[in-house]
Amino acid sequence: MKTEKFLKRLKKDILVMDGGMGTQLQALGMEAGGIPELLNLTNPELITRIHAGYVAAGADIVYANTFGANRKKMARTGETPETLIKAAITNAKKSGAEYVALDIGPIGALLEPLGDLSFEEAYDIFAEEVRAGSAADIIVIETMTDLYETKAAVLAAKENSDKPVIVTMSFEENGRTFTGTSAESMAVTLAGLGANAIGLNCSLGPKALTPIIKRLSEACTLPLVFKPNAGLPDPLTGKYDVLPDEFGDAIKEVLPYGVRLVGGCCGTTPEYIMKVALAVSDFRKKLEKKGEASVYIQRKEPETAVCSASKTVYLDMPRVIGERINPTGKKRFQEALKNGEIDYILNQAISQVEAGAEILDVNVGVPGIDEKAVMVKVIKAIQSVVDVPLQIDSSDPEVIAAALRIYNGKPIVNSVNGDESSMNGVLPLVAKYGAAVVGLTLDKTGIRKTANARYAIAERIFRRAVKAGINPKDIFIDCLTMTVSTEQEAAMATLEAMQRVRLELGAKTVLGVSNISFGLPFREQVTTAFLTMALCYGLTLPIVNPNVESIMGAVRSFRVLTNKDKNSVEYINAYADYIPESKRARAACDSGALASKAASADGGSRTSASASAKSGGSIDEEKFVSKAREAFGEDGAALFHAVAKGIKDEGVSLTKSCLKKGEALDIVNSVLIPALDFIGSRFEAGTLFLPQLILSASVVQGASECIKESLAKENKSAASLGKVVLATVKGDIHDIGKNIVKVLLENYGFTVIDLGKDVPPETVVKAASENGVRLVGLSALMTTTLASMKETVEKLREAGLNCKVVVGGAVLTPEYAREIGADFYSKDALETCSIARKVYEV
Amino acid sequence: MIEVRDIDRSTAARYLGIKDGEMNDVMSNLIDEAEGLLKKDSKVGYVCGIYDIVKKPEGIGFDECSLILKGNDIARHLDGCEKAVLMCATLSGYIDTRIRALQITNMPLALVYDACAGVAIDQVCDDVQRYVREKLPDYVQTWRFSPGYGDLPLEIQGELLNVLEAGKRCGVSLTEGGMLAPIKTVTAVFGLKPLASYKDLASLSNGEFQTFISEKGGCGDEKICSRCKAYGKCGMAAGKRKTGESGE
Repeated sequence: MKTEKFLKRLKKDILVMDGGMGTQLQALGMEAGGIPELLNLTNPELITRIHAGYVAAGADIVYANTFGANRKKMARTGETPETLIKAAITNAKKSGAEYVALDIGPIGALLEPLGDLSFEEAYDIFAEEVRAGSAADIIVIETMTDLYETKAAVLAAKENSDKPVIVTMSFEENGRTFTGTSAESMAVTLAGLGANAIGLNCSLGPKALTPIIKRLSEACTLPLVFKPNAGLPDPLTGKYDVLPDEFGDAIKEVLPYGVRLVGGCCGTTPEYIMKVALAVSDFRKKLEKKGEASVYIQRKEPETAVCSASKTVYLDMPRVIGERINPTGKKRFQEALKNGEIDYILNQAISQVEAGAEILDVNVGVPGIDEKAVMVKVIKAIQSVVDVPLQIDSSDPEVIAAALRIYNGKPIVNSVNGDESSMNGVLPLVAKYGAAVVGLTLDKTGIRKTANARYAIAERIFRRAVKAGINPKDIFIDCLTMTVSTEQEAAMATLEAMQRVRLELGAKTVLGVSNISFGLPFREQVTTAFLTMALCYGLTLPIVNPNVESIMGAVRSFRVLTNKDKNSVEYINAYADYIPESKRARAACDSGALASKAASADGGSRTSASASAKSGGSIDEEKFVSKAREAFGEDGAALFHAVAKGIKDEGVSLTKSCLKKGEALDIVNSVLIPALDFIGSRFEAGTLFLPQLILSASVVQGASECIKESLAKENKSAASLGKVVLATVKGDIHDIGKNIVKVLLENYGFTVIDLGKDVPPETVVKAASENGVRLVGLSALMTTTLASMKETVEKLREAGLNCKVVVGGAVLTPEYAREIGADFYSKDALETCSIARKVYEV
Repeated sequence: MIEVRDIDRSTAARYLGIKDGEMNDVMSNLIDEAEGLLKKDSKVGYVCGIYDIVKKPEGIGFDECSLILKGNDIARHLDGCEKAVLMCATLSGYIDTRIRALQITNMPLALVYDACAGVAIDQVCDDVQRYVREKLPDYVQTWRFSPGYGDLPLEIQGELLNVLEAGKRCGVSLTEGGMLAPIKTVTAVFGLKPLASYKDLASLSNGEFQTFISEKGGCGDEKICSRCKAYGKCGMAAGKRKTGESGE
C-alpha cells in the first residue's frame, strides 16, 4: 500500500529527502574514522534527533543510519548487520518521517577485476542487508561508483524484497565515476534492471552535478534523484564551500529535468534541506499554475542502446558486431577453449575492437567443455580488457542466465527462436535482466524459405517478447543469411523479410553476414556486396569480421552516405592516414628483403648484428644463428634476427615462409630457441633490458601461434616439453611478474597452466595434482602475502605430490625460499625457464 | 588540480633496471609511448587530512581521529612534529585496465608502462606535498612514510583509508589480502615541524638538516653555509626564497 502510494507520488510529485548524516555526527563530536552505525545502538536518541531535524526542515524521506552496515565493514564492531539495521530503522521511524529508507552504501572493497571481491559475494552481502531492512519503506542504494557493484545491489534488493528501489551514483567532473561508469551506461543498465528512480549523490556540489543530471535525463525516462554535496570539500580541511542559499538556488535549476526526489549529501544540514524544501514548494506552485508540460523539460524515449559500464552504443545507425569469438569451424579456437587459453580469446577481443567493432559476439559453445562456466569466465575476462558491449551467444537458457547475471552493463542475448521451448526459456531471462534480445526467424520445423514465412515467425517472437515484459525497442530480429552458393534465391528472401521487419514491426535487425559467401572463391567480395545490400534493406547490426578492411569500409561509408556520420568525422578518423594495401604489401616486401639481406650480410661478414652483439659483452651471435641458417636458409636467419630485434610482423611472415620449407618442430628447435638463448645471454650480460627480452619473446609468441595454427589445420598439436602450473598466491593481485614468466616458459615450449592471481592454496594443489605437473611456480609481490606462499608450499607437500616448487617475486629472497620449503628460488623469468628445463631434463 | 606530469626519465630507467648511460632507442621509445598512454589514462585522485599529533601510550595518535600509528620508526620519523598529514593518492583504475590489456597485446610496453606509472604516482605524491607546503608555509615537512616501512604495520592501511574516507573521496579500497586497489595507489604520512623550531640549525642532525634545506632550498645562515654546500644546496637564503619553490 505504502509502496504504491510512494510510486504514485514519484510520478506526479516531488519529494524532499534528508541531508548528510556523517556531517551532523562529526559536528556533534564523532572523530574521523568513527563508526556511525554503532550509534544506532549506543546512542539511539542522538540518531533520532538528527533525523527529526531533517523532518522538521521539510524532509519527506529520511535515510536510516545504515550506509555502511554491511558485514564486511561491520566485522570489526562485533555487531551483525541485522542488529544494526533493525535498530537504525526503528530510530529513523521515531523521527516521524513519512518514509524511511534502508540506506545501502558501497561495501568498501572493490569488485573484480579492480579488486578481489566477487560479484556473487557482493550480492550476498547486499542481500543480507536487504533482508535485515524489511521494516523500511523503500530501499536506497547510494554513493555507488562501480556499476557492477550497483547491479549486485539492485539484484539483491529486487530478489529479496518488493520495495521500491532507488539508486544514486557518485560522479566526478569528467562525467564518470571513479571506476569509469558513464551517466548513460548507468541509466541504460539500471532502467533495464527495474530501478524505480535513479540519480546522483555525493562527490560534487549541485552546480557541478547539473550537467550530469541533464545527461541522465536524456538517457532514460525514469524519475530522477538529486542529492549533491554542499560543494567540493577542501582537500586539506574537508570543509565544504556551498552555502544553503546557493544550494537552494541551484536545486531550482535542476527540478525541470525530471527530478522527483531531492535532498543533500555530505556537508548539508537541516538548514540546507529547508532551502531545498522551499525550492520544491515554489516549483510545486509553478506546477499547479502552469501544468506539467510547461514546467518540465520534455523527456523523449531515448534511442535503443546497449552498453558496458563505461561505453554506451546507441543503435541510431548500423553498428558492427565482431564475430570472431566463436569456435565454429575454427580448430585453433576450439583448442584454445579446451585448454583454457583465455589470452588467445582476449587477443581476438582486443584486435576486433581495434579494427572498429562496436559490440562483440561471444560464443564458447564447443563439445566437451562446461559452456556455462567458460562463458562466465570469458565474459568477465573480456570485460576486464575492452569496453565495448557484448552479445551473449548461446541457445542454452542456463548459459544465458549465468552470463546475464554477471555481465556488467546491458548486453544483447543471441538468441531466441520461434520455438515454444526457446521462447519460454529465454524471454523471461531477458526481461528480468533488462537485456536486448535477438530473435532468429526459425522454429522447430527449421528455416523457412520464403520471406513471408520468416516474417511470420519474427512477428510471433516479437509479440511473445513484448508479452514477457521486454521493451519492444530491445527486440532485434535476425532473418538468417543462407549460403548463396547452395541456395541462390535465399539471399533476396532474407533481405525482403528484413525489410518487412523494419517497416511493419519497426524492430531493429541483426544478420550474421559472412555465411553468405561460404563455398565461393574470393569470399570477401560477395560478403561485402551482400553487407552493403543488407544495410540498404535496413540492417542495424551486421555480425561480421571487422578485421576485414572492406567490411568495415562498407559500414563506415554507409554511415557517411546516409548522413549518420555527421561531417564524416568517424570516417576521416579511421582513414586519414590510410595507405592502400598494395603499397603496404610493397613496403613490407622491401623491409623483408632488407631483413633477409641483413641476415645474409651478418652471416657473410658478420657486420652489423654481430658488432652490436660484441658491444653487448662479446656474445657470438653466429654461434646461435648458424643452426637457423643451416635448417631454413636465409629465411631462418632472417627469422632469427626478427626475434633478436623484436619485429613481430616480420616474425610471423618469416615463420610462414619457414613452414613451407620444413617441419614446424624444427623451426622451434633450430631458430626460435637459439634466438631466445641469444637474447637471454645478452640479458644476463646486462646489455639488453627486460622489456627488450619480452619484445623478442612476443615475436616468438607470434611465431608459435602461427605454428600452432598450421598444426591445428593438420589435426596435430604442438609437442609440449611439459606442464607447469603458475599462480600468484592468495591475497596478491599483482601478477605482471608471473605473466612474464608465463610468456617465456611458453616460448620455450612448456605448457603453462595459468591459475591467475589471488589463487587459494587448494586450487594450486588441485591443478598440480590433476595435471601431474613436475613443477609449480608461485609468485608474490608483497610481504603480506608471503604467508600464503608458505601455506601453498605446505599444502603441496601435505598432498604428497611429486613436484618441485619454484618461487619468485619482488620481496622474496633465496633464504626465505629455503625457509618455506621451496625447491628453487628464481631471481627472474629467465632463470625460471632454466629451472623448468632442468626439472624436465630438456 | 594535480595531474600526471612528464615522467622523470632517470627514475623510470632505474625502475626498469637500466644503468646510467645505457638507455637505448628501443627503451626510450617504449618509455615515450608509455608516458603518452599514462597521461591519457590517469585520473588522479587524492585526499589528505591534517591532524594535530597526540602521543598516546599505544603509539602516535591524532586529535579527533581514530587512527593510531604503532612502532618506533614512525615515532622517530614524526619526532618534533606538531602536526601530521595523512594522505592517499591514486592514478585510478584505468591504469589497471590498461596494464591488463597491454599484457595481452604488448607485454614489453606493459612492463614499461607499469614502471612509468610507479614513477608517476610518486610524482603525484610530491605534488600533494607541494600543495600542502603552499598552504602551510610555516612548517617543514618530513618525507613520506608509508605503512609497511620499518616497523609501521601494513595492517593500519584499512583504518588509514577509513579515516580519510578514501573510498568515497578518491575511489581507493583495500583487498582482502590487504593490498591497495587500484594498483597504482600510495598511502603515506608526513610530519609538519614548525619552521620556528629550526632556529638552531647548527645543532640539527644530518638527517634533519638535509630535510630542512631540501624544503627551504638552503640554510639562509652564513655561519653554517659550508654544511649546506656539502648537500649542493648552498647560497639560497631561506628567508629570501619564496616557499614552495624548494629544491626538489
